[in-house]
This record gives sequence, structure tokens and C-alpha cells, in this order.
Amino acid sequence: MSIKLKFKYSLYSLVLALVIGGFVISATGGNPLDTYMTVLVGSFGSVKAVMSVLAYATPLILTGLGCVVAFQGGVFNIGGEGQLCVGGLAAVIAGLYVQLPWPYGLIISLIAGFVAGAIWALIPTLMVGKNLASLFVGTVMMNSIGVSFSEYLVKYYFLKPQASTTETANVNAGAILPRFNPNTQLNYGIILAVILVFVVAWLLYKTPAGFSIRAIGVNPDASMQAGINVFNRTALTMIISGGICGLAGAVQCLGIYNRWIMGFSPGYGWDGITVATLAGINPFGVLLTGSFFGMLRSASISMNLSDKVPIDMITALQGLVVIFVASPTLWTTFRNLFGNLQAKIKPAGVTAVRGKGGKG
Amino acid sequence: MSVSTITDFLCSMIRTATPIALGTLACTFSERAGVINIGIEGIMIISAFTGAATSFITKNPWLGALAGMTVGVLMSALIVILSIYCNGDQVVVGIGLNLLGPGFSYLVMTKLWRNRGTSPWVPGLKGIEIPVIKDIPILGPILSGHNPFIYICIGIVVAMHYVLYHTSYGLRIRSVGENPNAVATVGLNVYKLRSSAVLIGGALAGLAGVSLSLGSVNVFTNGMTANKGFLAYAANRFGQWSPAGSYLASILFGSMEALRIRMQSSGIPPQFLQMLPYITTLLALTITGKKLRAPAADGVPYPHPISVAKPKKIKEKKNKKADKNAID
Amino acid sequence: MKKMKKLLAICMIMTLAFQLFACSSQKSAGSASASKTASSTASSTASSSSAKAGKIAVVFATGGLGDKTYNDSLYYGVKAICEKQNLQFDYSEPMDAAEYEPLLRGYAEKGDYDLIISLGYSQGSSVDKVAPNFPNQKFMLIDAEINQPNVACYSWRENELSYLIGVMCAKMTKSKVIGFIAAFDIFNCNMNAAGLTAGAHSVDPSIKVIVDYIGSWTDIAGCKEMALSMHEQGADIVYHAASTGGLGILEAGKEKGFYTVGYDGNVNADAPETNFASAIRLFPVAAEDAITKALDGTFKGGKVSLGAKEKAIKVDTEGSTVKVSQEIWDAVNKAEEDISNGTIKVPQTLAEANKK
Repeated sequence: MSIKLKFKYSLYSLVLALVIGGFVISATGGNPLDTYMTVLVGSFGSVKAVMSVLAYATPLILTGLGCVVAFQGGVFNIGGEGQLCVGGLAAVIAGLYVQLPWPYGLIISLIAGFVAGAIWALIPTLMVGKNLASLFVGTVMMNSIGVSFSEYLVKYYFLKPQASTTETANVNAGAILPRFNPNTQLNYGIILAVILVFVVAWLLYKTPAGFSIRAIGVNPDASMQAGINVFNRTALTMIISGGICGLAGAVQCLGIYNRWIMGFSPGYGWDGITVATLAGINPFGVLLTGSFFGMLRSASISMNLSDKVPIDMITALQGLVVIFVASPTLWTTFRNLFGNLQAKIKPAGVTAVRGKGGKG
Repeated sequence: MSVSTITDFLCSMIRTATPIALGTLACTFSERAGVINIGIEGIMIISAFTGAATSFITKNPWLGALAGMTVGVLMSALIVILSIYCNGDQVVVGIGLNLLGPGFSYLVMTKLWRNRGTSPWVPGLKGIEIPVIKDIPILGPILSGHNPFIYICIGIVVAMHYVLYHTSYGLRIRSVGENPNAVATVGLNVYKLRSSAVLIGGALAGLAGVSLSLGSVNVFTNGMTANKGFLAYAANRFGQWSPAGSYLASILFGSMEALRIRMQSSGIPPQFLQMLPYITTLLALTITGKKLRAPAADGVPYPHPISVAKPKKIKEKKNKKADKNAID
Repeated sequence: MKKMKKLLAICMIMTLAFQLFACSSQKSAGSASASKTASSTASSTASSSSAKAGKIAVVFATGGLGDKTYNDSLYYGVKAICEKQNLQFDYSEPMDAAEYEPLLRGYAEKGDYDLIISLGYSQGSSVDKVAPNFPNQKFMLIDAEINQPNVACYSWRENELSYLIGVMCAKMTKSKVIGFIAAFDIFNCNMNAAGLTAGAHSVDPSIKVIVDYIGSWTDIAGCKEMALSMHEQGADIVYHAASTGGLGILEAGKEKGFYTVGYDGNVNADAPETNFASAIRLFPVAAEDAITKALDGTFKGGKVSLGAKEKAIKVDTEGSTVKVSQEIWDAVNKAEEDISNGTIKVPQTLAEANKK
């Protein structure tokens, strides 16, 4: 299926999801058009709204990108949540103890975030990475371990004095990722995310390492026979993927909270999987789907404020979009079904002509 | 350590393991047929909700359980339609279910109970006392008096083992997961076989959800599944795609959870105790993990001819094309 | 292909048209019931649209409503006050901690709320970020303390409340073991554990208090398991500070027949035979104080600490069928008095409590 056709079918799917969503909204006593208007106004009604969409999109683009790398390399890394949590903590610790002026402190912090995320991804790889089925289980386990482990570190070593929750003190001014405007959560992390999209795309499609990663993703056995060290490449994939997820955590901590705080991620690591798969494991697609999810996320806030529709409609809508967009062949099926139906009605001779006509 | 401590520990272990085990069995059955169902989490939450809501309205928890299972089947029907017949990506459809499940549940919950946090108390299923066994000194408390889901779960393990390894239907299911092309050449319908496995898996996942809301606490809460669905998915792989293995893997999770709850006086920081089940799994995986082998066609689509673009008018050709795609 | 496009377009137009029709027919019924303005759903819609004396907004903690404890007690408290004073009451239930800041900002930007109430220790940092941008907006922050001129921070000396429960449990227990389930290993939860321990030890120093952390505010099943395990270890009373999760303790108590104590809301009626008391922080007292001050202009930022002295805590046994003897009540009342006049200083951390 060509990209163009795929894109078109995705649009159809989007419309179908919105229509079905509309029926659900009606059924639960809301007004679909009103709701969709709220979503649009809440996302694009003002500069501020757009900024807030991008603010929500930032971590999703980053975790989505991390997943893209892993999925391209044939590793089902769903340990993004743990990598994000640990990465955020490492960045904050660096930000607390490294006394350097901006932007050097920030750069050190971001690197710390990347390294911590990479290490967190590397641990299960070293333990069970020889078998991809086990590696998947390993990354799931590292999620919960990562969350508890960072909570432990903060609680016992980096707790802010007099804190009522598990949180660190604010990082040094030199390590803060500045916001564009104090009134929105949008920060320079979005620029980092966009740059990373290009870096990852370059890495995957233009470098020999990227080629071997993708080759393994397509067919590990053949790659092994071609002399590629599969385990090494898997480790590399996990390092890049985990590092980017760690960076997502660093961006959230340094840009939005200026510190590590328990529960700072509402599941960005999990959402990253959705964003990446919906993007068709394409680094550039992540920009689109990440922003789309950011938009829905932002809409759920404006809905919560405007009292029109229960916010959970947004989650349901996301689900509808995901399952329909995931199945572009749905439309081929419809077409074929339609063709069959016509074939049944019309005499057999006409069918052949019709079939050809459908192709054009 | 006294005998009663051990009995209590074992009971707690089984109680904690049962919802995960049911979810794991759901994964096992559908993956044995070559379809990945990563939407267990979503199915569990919507079934837990439906079960609680039905029990709340009808005052009959058994009806609730039935309703929960039905919803599980309906949700997995989406996988059947979109992944098996329309050739959509199995994983993405599963992820979609993980969003749809909670979305719809909380949506209706807001309508029904005017909040999206916690439901009122609902009638739940009472523990079953087994007449003779409950009077046996040590075995009695271990075997008797649990909620029905525990017995149902063990029954399902035995039944699934029998079906998979001792019936022709089971043989077909396993073959379809290993080599769908071969099954098709014999003249069997790959799509129907896969669909049946996914639907049965959906019913089991539904049961897993209901066992959360009606089996133990008799209330439905936002986020009740707490990633148990993903844990189930991992347990299935850890358990080598076999019913008994899956059950044992879930029991391992359950025992670690039961252990952590009982270790508070040890002076270990609580955060480390919370990591315990996961660290143990990881270590166990390092030892046994090298042997894990998925069914050969696990997650490999077998496109239905109707979903293949621009079909030629002769039917045999379509099938060939489908076969080719499957091999790729 | 072109034909397909046309067909699809027609299909879509038709569905949209149908949808429009469907909504317009539902509009009248739908808009009223979908409204989340609590006062309008509670009373008739007619009165709500007419003049209101003011507007109050609440951003709840992430556990959500229906928990019968934390969020619910503030909800019912504020709702009652708003009905009494004819105020409009809007609220939102955030899905996760990342939504606090935009929600607070959203309410503040509307500019016509007399008071924005923000519930939960985890909202402290969000309010700290938002409040300076809206110097004229009044905020009430419950359970966290920050320094902003337009934020009134209300927090409870929860250790005092738990001290009273500790005294009560110590008198009730036969096995000399009390279980306490906290949600997280955080200051607020540990303050309760410290109070409970100190209270119990004040009656009988040989009493053992088992403290454990479940790691979630909402894990009902986990709390139930934990309560059962505490019961196995000999505890015959289990008390909690785990919000929604605490409902699991009631269930465990009912099942195995041991005593439980609820927290933050009166849950006695949910397990009348085993839950003999509920420890209640009087959210309505604090909310009424803040709302009244916000409306009459005497509102000012700062920290308000509430406890026995301010009569903002209560041990409630109403709704339970368990007999609590007069002797126990005397001890509890005595302790409450001693705390208010400063004779008893209740420790705040577990380390202090266990030292004594």
C-alpha cells in the first residue's frame, strides 16, 4: 500500500472514529458537534491553546520516538515508563549538584537523563536480551522497579526538607529548561524533541548502524546469517530507545516541575507505545500522532473546565481512533465487500468491468 | 513460623494470583492460535466495570459475572473483525482496546454513579465452603472457603490443558499458531480457528476483570486493574505459552505480592518490598528465559482475502496471495 | 476510485446529518443532565441559572469522587455550604497529577471564581506555580503548605486525630496488636502512624503497632490483603490513611470479623458490625471558613493549622453497632482536652513516637 493511499485511508478512519464517537457522545447525553468544537477551540482557539497542545505533545513525542527506535529494531520495549522515571531523577540529581551556568548545567542534566534511561534499558538487555520474548517481559518488570527505585532514592537521599510528598528540592537555575511563557507549560523541550526526530530519522535511515538495527527488526535470523551481531545491535537499540525515554523524563522534570516529584508521569511511557504504533513506527509520524494526542489531552482539560462532556470521552475517542487507524485495510475490505455485493446483484459479465473500474 | 502462617500465606498467594492468572490464560489461548492480544488490560477494566454495574442494578453477582464475560467477548470481537478479517495490526488494535476499555467504563460510570472515582458497594460473590474438605485440619482452610473465581480458574487451567493437548480442536489451534499455511492447505479455516481462540480468550479476560470487582472487594474503582493486564501478558510468555506454565507464573507473582505484604516488620524500606515481585521475576527470567520460544506464527497476520487490495476475480489466486503475505 | 470517494462523501454527509438530528432531539434532555455543576443537578435547574451570590471551584485529588473518604467529604461539605449560601459550585476530577496545573490555571483565567479550592498534598507545587500569575485570585490549598500571599493553606495536625484513635484502639484491643495501613511512605501518612503509636502507647506501652505502606491511594484489593495479613499477625484492629484503598480494610474486617477504623469520612454504616469508629478531619469547617472569608473580603493568605484546639477533628462512632463504653469515651475526651491545652505534645514522626 502506498504511503499516499495509507494516509488517505487513515483520514477516512479518523472520520469514521469521530462519527462513531459522535454517536457515543449523543448516547451519553452530550452534543457531539459541541464537543468537537470544544476540542478544536481548546486546541487551536488561541496561541496559548496551541502552546498547551505542544506542551502535552512534548513528552509523548519523545517517548514515542524512543519506542519507534525499539520497534524498528524488533524489540518490544515497553519499559518506557521506568526509563522515563529514572531518567528524570538522574537529570534532577545532576541539576541539583552540578553548579554550572545555563546552558551548561542544563546540558549536563539532559545527558545524565539520557544515560540513566539508557542504563535502565540496558540492564534487562544484559540479563535476558539474548531472547527477545524474555526481553519484553524484562522491560515490563523494569517499569515497576524503576518507579519504586527512584521513589526510594528520593525518599532516603534527595528528599526536600519539610516536604509533604516525595519530591526533591528545585534544581539550580543553570539546569532549568526554560518555558516560553510562564503561563503555559510549553518549554524548550519541544525544540529538543523536534531535533531528536530528525536525528533519529537520520540515524535509522542514513547510517550503517541504523540499517543493521532495521534489518534485525525485519528479520533477525537473516541478519544473524549475514554476520550481524544481533545481541550487540539489540543492546544498541535499547540504549538509544531507553536514552530517549530517559530524556523525556528529564524534559518533564526540568521543564515543568523543576524537580523530581512522585507521580510526575501519568503514563507517558505507556502512551509512547500508542503514539509510536499509530505513527506506523515512523519517526516523522510521531510528530503528527504525538501532537494529535497532545491535542486530545489538552482538550480533556478544557472539557473538564467547561463541564460539557465527561472527560473520559476523550480516552474512548483515542481508542476509536487507534483501532481504526491501525486498520487501513478496513477500507480495502469495505471496497471488496461492496464489490462482492455488486457482483451478486449484477450479471457476472458486468462484474469484471466493474472490478477494473474500481481499480482506476 | 507456624502452620497457620503458611496456610494464610498460601491462601493470600492464590487470591492475589487469580485475576492475573485468568488474564494470563486469556493471553495463552489466543497466542497459541497466533493472535497477540495486548488489550487484556482494557478488557479487564471494562468487564470489571460491567460486572459491578450489572451486579449493582440486578443485585445478582452471577449475572454481573456473565455480563462481564459477555463484554469481554464483545471487546475481543473487535480484534476478530479488525485484525483477523480486516488484517489490521494486532498490537495496535490491542492498544486501542486498552484505551477504549477505560474510556467507555468511566464514561458510563459518570452517568451511572455521578463520579469517576469509586462505585458504591455492590453485591459480590461469596466464598464457597466445600462440605467435607473444609473440616480437614490443615488442608481445609487452604482448599475451602475461597471466592468462586479461584476454583473456576483452576478448572479452566485443567480444561485448557486438556483441550490444547488432547483434542483435535486443540491440535488445530496450536497448528494455526505455528503454521497457518499448513493448516489452510489441509482445508481448515484459519480465520474461524483464530477467531474462536480470540473470543474464548476475551471471555477469560472478562472473567479476570470480574474477579477483580466481584471476587474480592465488591466495588469498582478507577484504575482498578493497575497494569495487571500487562503483567498477565508477561506471565504468559514467562509461562512458556502453556496453561500450567501460565498459572504457575501468575502464582509466582501472587506469592511475591503476598510475601511483600508480610515483610513489613523486616525493616526493609517499603519501596524495596514493592520491587520484590518484579526483581524476582527478572532473576527467574535470567535463568529460564533463554528457552522461551513463542509459537512460530505468534502475531503473524494471516490476511483474509477480503482485506487484500484489488483482488483478481479468480478465487484461488486470492488465496495464494494471502498465503504469500503470511509467509512474508 | 473516484466513485468510491463520492460514495464515502455521501455516506459521511448522511451520518453527520443523522447525528445532527440525533443531537438536536436530545439536546433538551442532555444538556441538563450532562452539566457537572453540582448545585444545578442537586436542586432544580431553574434556580441555578438565576443570580448566585458567588462561584466556588474545586480541583479534587486524583483518586476521584466516590472514595467515601477524602474527596467525598470535601465534596459534600462544599456542596452543603454552597447550597446554604446560594453559591455556584464547579469542580473537576483530574485524571492525573499533570492536570492540576492547567485545571487551576483554567479556573483562575476565567476570573470570576471567588475561591478556588485545591485538595491534596500533591497539588502544592501546582498552586505554587499558578498563584503568582493571578495575584487577585484567592486560592485555598488543603493538606500542603506553600508561601504565597493569595493562598490560604489549611492543613491538619493529623497526628492529633490519630492519637485519639490510638487511645481508643488501645482500650479496645485484646491482642495488643494494632495494624496501620498507609498509602505511601510520606510525611502526612507517617504523621498519622506516629500519632496512632503515641496514643496507643500512652494507654499501654506494650501494644505493638504494625505500620505498612501499600504504595497506592486506590488499591482496594491490596489494602484488603494487607489488612488480612495484619490480622493473621495478631492485629485485631486495623486503621488506615490510604484514601479509597481504605474501603478494602472494611471489606477485610467484615469478612474475618475484626475491628476497623475508617478515615476522613464516616464509613461506619458500610460495616456497622466491625467498623466501630471513623476518624474525621472536618473539611467543611475549613471550607466554610475559607469561603466565608473569601466572600466578605477578610480572606488572607498564609498557613492555617487545624487540630484538636480548633475543634476541626472528630472521632465519629455514629452508624456503628459496636458498643464503645463510656470509660473509653472519657479517655478519648480527656486526651483531646490535653492535646488542645498543650499538656500532651503528639510526636510527628515515627522515630519520635517509637523513642518514647
